[in-house]
Amino acid sequence: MPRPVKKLEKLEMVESRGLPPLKNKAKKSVSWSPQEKFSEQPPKFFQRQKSSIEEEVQAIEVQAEVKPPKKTGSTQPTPASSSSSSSSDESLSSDEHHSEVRDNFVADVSTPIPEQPNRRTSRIDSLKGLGGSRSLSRQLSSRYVDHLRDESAQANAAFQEHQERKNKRNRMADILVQDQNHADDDEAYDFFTKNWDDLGTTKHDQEDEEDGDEEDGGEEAVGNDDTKTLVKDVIGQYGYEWTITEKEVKSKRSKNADKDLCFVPSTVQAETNLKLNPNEKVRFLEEEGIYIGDPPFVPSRIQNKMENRILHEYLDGWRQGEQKRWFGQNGKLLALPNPILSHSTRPGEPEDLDPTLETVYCAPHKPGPNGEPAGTNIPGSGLNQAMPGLVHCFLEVDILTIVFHHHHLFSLEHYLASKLRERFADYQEILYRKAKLDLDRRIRVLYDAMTELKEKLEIAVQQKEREFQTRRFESYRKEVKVIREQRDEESGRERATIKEILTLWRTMRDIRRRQGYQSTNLKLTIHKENASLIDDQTQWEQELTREVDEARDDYHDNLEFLTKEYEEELRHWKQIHDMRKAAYKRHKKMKKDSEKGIGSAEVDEIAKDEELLASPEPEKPQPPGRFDEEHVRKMLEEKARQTRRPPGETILTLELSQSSNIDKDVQDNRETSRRHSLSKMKIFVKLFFNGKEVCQSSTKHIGEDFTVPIAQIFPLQITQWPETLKVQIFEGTKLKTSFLSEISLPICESDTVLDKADVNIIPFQSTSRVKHDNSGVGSCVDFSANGDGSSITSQPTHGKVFVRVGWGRTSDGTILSPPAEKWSPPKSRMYGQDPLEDITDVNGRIESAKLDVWMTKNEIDPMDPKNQDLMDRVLEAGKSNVDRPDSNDRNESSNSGSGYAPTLQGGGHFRLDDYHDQFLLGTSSAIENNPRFQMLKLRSSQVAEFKNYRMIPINDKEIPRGIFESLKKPSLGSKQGLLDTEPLRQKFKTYLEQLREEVNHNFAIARHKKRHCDVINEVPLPTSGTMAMLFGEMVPAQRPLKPYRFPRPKIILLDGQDLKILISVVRAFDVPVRNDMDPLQSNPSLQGKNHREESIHGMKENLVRSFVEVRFQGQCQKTPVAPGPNPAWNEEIEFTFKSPNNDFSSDTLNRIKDNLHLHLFDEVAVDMLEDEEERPREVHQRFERKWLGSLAIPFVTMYRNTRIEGTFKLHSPPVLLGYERTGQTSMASGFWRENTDMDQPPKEATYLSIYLTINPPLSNPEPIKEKLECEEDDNLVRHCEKWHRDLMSKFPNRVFSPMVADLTGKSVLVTRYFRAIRPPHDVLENNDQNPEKVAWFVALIPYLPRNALFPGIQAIWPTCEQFIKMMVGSEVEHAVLMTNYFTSLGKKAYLVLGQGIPEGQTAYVLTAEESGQHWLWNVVTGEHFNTSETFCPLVGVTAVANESNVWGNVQSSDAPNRMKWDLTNGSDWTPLFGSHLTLPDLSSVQPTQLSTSQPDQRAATTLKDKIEKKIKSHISSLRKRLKLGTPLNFTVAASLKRLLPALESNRGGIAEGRILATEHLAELKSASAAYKICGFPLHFGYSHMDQIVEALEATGVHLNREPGVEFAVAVHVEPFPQTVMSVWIYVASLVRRR
Amino acid sequence: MAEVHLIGQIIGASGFPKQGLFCKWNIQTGGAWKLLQGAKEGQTQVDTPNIGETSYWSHPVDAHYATRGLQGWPKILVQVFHQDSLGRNSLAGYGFCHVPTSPGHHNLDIMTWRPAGSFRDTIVQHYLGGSHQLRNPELMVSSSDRHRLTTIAMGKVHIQVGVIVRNFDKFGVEC
Repeated sequence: MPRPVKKLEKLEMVESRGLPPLKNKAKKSVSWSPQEKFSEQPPKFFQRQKSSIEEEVQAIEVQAEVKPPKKTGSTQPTPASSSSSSSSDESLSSDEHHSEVRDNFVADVSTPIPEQPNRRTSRIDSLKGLGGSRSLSRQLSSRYVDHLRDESAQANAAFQEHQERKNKRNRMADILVQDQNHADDDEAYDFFTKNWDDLGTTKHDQEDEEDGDEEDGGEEAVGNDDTKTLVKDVIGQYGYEWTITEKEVKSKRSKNADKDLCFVPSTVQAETNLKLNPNEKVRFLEEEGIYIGDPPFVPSRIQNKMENRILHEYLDGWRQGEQKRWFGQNGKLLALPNPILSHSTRPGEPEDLDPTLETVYCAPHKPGPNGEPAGTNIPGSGLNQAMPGLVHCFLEVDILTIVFHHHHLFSLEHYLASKLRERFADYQEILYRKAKLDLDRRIRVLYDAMTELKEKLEIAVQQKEREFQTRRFESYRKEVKVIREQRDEESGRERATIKEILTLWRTMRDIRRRQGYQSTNLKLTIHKENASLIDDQTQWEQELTREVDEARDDYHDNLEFLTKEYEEELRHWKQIHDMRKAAYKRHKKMKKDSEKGIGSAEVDEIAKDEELLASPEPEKPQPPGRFDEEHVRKMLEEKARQTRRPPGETILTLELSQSSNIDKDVQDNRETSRRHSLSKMKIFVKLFFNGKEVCQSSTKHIGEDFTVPIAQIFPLQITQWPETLKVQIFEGTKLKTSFLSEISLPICESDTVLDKADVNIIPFQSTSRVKHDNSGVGSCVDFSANGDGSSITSQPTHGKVFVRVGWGRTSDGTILSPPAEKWSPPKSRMYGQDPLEDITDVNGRIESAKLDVWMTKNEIDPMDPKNQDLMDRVLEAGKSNVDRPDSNDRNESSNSGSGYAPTLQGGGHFRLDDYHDQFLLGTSSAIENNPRFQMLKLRSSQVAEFKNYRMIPINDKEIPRGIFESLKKPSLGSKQGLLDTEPLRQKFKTYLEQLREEVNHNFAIARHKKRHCDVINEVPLPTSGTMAMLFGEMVPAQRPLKPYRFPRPKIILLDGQDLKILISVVRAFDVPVRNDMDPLQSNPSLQGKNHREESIHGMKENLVRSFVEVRFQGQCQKTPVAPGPNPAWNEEIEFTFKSPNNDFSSDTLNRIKDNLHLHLFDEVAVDMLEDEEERPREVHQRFERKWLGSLAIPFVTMYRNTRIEGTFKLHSPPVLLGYERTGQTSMASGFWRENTDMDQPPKEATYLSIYLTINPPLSNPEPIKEKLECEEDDNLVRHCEKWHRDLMSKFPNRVFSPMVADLTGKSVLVTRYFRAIRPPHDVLENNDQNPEKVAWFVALIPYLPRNALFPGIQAIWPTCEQFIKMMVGSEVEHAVLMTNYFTSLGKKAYLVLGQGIPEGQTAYVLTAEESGQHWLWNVVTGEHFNTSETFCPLVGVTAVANESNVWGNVQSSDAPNRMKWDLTNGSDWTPLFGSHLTLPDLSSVQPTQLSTSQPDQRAATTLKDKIEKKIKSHISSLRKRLKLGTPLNFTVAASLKRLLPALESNRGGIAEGRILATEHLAELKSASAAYKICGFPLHFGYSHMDQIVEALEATGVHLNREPGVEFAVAVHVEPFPQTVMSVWIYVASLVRRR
Repeated sequence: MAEVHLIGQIIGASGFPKQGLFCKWNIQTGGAWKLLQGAKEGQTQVDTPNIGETSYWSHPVDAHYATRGLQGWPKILVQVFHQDSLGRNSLAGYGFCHVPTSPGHHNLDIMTWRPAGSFRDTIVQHYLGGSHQLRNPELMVSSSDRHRLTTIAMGKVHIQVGVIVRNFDKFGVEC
């Protein structure tokens, strides 16, 4: 019968598929012992001991063997008999189960009757299944095959019979249903509601009636005993089977059937003992430090099930020593580490958008009036945005305490205490680690394991097992070694720490005792615990023996290798030795040969031999020594003594407490002063939010224990996304505070409230060096750590800040933080992708210290093989840190030195991307030090010296050396001090440099604020007015007699164009004439030339033949000679201007310091004829030039004014020896105005008329206008602008704005610059109110033209204070200072702005004299002019100002002598403040007093000597070039020297030149008898040595070629306050009269 | 040390839905690069073309770099903005491209994009103007994932750049 068989097979397949590892044995045991239901009593089974388990298993096996024959034997089994055949309690239990199952069934059935047939089928199915599984369980035993066949045949028969019955019953049921259908409502109701038990019985009752035979069976299906009948009827040959079938049939549920048939493992955890090999102990490898990954998560229930099943199935296998293991040594299922990552590597779809990806809606915005760029700047600055709609955010920062671990006011005791505390923390950590690692125990476990293994090794028989065990043993040995080393290290460290603590404590105690007081409250308590000597001894011995044993083992293991090595070495040595021997022999032979003079040898060979012999003989290798047990033992003991507690030593436990008190009364002065300064020392912190300072804490005292309880909460209402939060710590006394350190605070998450925020402990450190005189040890200062001069150390101030950061909260508990979805703390936002941010330092290197912290924080498992690489590097980094304490220096060098930087650069850190450096082409210093790059950078950053380079060489070689040295100067200059060549003004120079830098910076900002009109040049459209003018130009006025000067358009010079300077020297007035006071002058024969000229001109005054020499940039041209005191040359001279680097930008031109020098010389022809006889026939003359005066015009003035025209006063010495002035002549010549005030003596001066221009005219940069910030009142500013505009519209060339720029780049009203300032006391001796003295002082202050002072920037007005500090300034500064001084003297003084010659835009001072006259003071020379004078250098007046008002000149003429000086006249002068606006009360920018230094006589003397030396050497060097000697005449020099102080006291004798000259002549009378003297005094307000030398050279004194000429030089320096020096130089050339 | 000169111009932009564009540009380099001379960032004028749809800026770019490595080769970042009739600026596109590594004259087109906002934002933008901008403009060049970002493709920015390299062959780099 094929069908059932097939079914069986199918079942089998299912079975085998479902539970592949289950084998028959398992089923067997189940089927044979149904009483062993694990679900009911598993503990019983598992809790049994090993032996009992074995017994059990045996018993089970016996049972299994016994039973089958029993089954086969019983041919007519009945349920009763089968149950009785097994043990009594067995049957009992099955019965119980049986009934239980039935009950279940009854309860479960809720299906109506029609279900019944199905029930039957299922019963049969289960029956078959049962049969199947049974047959399956026995498929291997062939004797059951026959049974099986019989059985299936019977089953088939039964099945058919059954089928018939079923059909019958079905039919019956149909009828029944039909009946039911016809039933009334009650019945219908009953049908559903009635208990089916009842229904069943009723039904069966009916069946009973119908089919008597069947009804039994029907009842049997439900009832208990019925089965018997069924079974009896249908099958039933083997009694043992029936016991099971019977149940299954009754239960009718496959689940229940499975339960009995299949083994259901228990979910209760299995006993650990069972899982291990019988001879194994539980080991937790993890605790021993071996890495074990996390196993994948399996619910414990399932895992237990699995374990139980495996236990069940493999129990036997293990016992028989099967190799396959299921459980680890810790009793858990063996499992690989979880391969599944905890996080997804593929980005999923995060709920919230990554903050970096966040976009913001930006409302369209208009650029502001200044046109700031739109949008956000690309690199990262877009974060600093206002938070839209989030105004109510409160960030609270709670700064709790600052604890100093070192402070410069630490006394030695404090230092020690801090150290002690530190050490103690280490100690505690060591203890903790010791407890945690438990190395001792691990080592003990390993020892045990080893002992066990050893035993096993001894008994092990099989080769394979032996090997395996040996391997294990080896690995244990290694492990032991490692752990022991570790333990030794740990305990060594512990001992060292304890020792250190004790030493520290002792030092501290000593110090306390020595000083007699106590300034810290630390106390160390040492607990002692006596150890038992005997125990220790035994342990010690044991340990040692073990170690020695191990060492021996090691030795034996290595012996073979060592021997081999030795043999190898020996062979090598022998080889060399032989070679040497041979070489030596040869060498000897050769020597002999050469001595005898015979034989030959190869040169190579000789060389080789010699080389060989020269090298030292290698040492003979030593064979490996024997194992010296004694020695090894000693060594080990020594080592143990260092690291372990020797036996019998007391066990120490330390405790640190703060119990003792600080002594208040201290006698020590140093300590009291320390405490005093400590009590004054205060600490405060500043809080910075997003880089801006927001709060400052109150100042707190540092307590005696150096903890500062700040305890202040700073609530910040923020409107910007928080990015950075920083705290700066300051310390200081009341007057002086100093910055200590800055730390960054982490910004908390948006849900953190301050109360719940964690306290962050942030370390800080200050590198500032502080030293104290008191007992404070200072910071970064060396001190002795023991107090007795030994162990010098230094400590920076450092400590920790305890701080909390959290968000604020309203009273109702709402957290005032930005919403979490919009904002996250900056770290995660900015560096979300970069976990390295935490551990890398500024240079992108990883710091090992930080790394350690990071690793502990992130719980990086060092044993995980995945982290192996990282750990290796960390280890290496740590190692090198120890090896190389000077890692910092090395690190630098390795960084810069090599292109291939190693992974570890110095110690303490490493790079993760270590190959990165290998791709670099060079080092960064190579770029920085490259001269070409440097030059390019300097040029692009507009550094003054380099900005004008047009070309920079392409090769480094072509760059001149030392080109960068000028840049380094300032830093050196500040330190050189007195050694510098110009020590006098160094201070001022540096100040000026600083100021320049500042000004440049300020104005660079101002200049960048460009307006529309600055960028775009819009040509205005012609209006009707302009059109009319256009037509007017078409028909020019015909006035041929009035020459008209066409204005030349100003241009910006382009490359390739030349800039020409045209000078037209017209004429001179009042040139001094020769007046040789030679007493022998009357002898005409000796003065032939003079005599002749006299004869020509007939007038003594005409004895001058002058010419003008013009020098510019090393070029020199001169006019022809014109005779007489009023010569006319009308000569045009042309120069080509050379700009540095060919750069003609306005900026460069404004910086040019070159001057155009015009020198007036007298050409003297010296007769060279030796022989008087030849005079009629020959002329032999030499021309010599005598300097008469000079004029310097700065190029900048020419550039700015384009055209300079007029009559200039020549700068000439007050006395010209050998010349005299003939003022009357000029008077007579009619150039003087007739109405000149005769009260004033005529000026003794020479005047020169020139016309000077540059071609092509250059355009000037527009001065900065109206772009500057202004702090004045808006109304006032508007008024000023209006006044200015009005004035300008009327007089376009008179430009003056009442708003001037100060050095900070702000507009200031000019009246603020005036305030009475008292001149320095030393200037006005004896309360002398002489204004001339003041003017003299001011004029002596060095002068620099406007443009040179602040190159490229015009119209800056430094205040007087700044001016005095700079000690250099333009006219305006001088004028302002002079005005202020004059005001303080009670004069009515005004500042006059206008056009002067030669300087162009200039400032003078106007004073109203008592006589009703107005005087104009030239501030640079100190001269004063009457307003009515003709040759006043001030040629145009624009405006006049003082502290109360500003007046603009509205007169038709602006020449001072043609103007009315009544300022109250509205038609002549238009005041700024008048009817429209009165002068507001404005504070002055000037100080009330200027502090000036005393005149320094010593410096003056030094300077005098220096100048004298310089002049002499300079003249001599100049003459050397002409191949001439320079003899000096000291007699004349001495008399000259006597004359100089008088000149000074006369302040140059401006007025009394003639008188002076006579005086001088009288003084030099004796000298002039012997010599023809030609000389003059020169005067300078000292500013620079070069200036003096240059001026001297220009006079051409040195050019005297007269044979036997001598020179006399005298110098006088008069000191003034603030290092102002008045320098007088008298130079004379002496020619001995023949 | 090796040097790179970039000489060229930002010619203009085309393909943008609106006219009246200007551009902020920036050359970004790695840490091994040092700017010797020239500007590395700037902003062009607003160009409102009368004819055609291309805005021309012709903005000169002239930068001279020295480098000690190839990492961080310069890239040009552009942010195109639109200025509307009321003079208000709003973002029109982000884009970047690497400077060509071969010397010579190159014509580059930079494709631009802008972040798309939500539907509501689109409506707001349509009526009120304004734009979505990246909170962190670093994202323009960072190679981190942008996969959650929705963007709208905008026009192209045309750049002409001449690259001159020097001394690279000394270090075995052939450009």
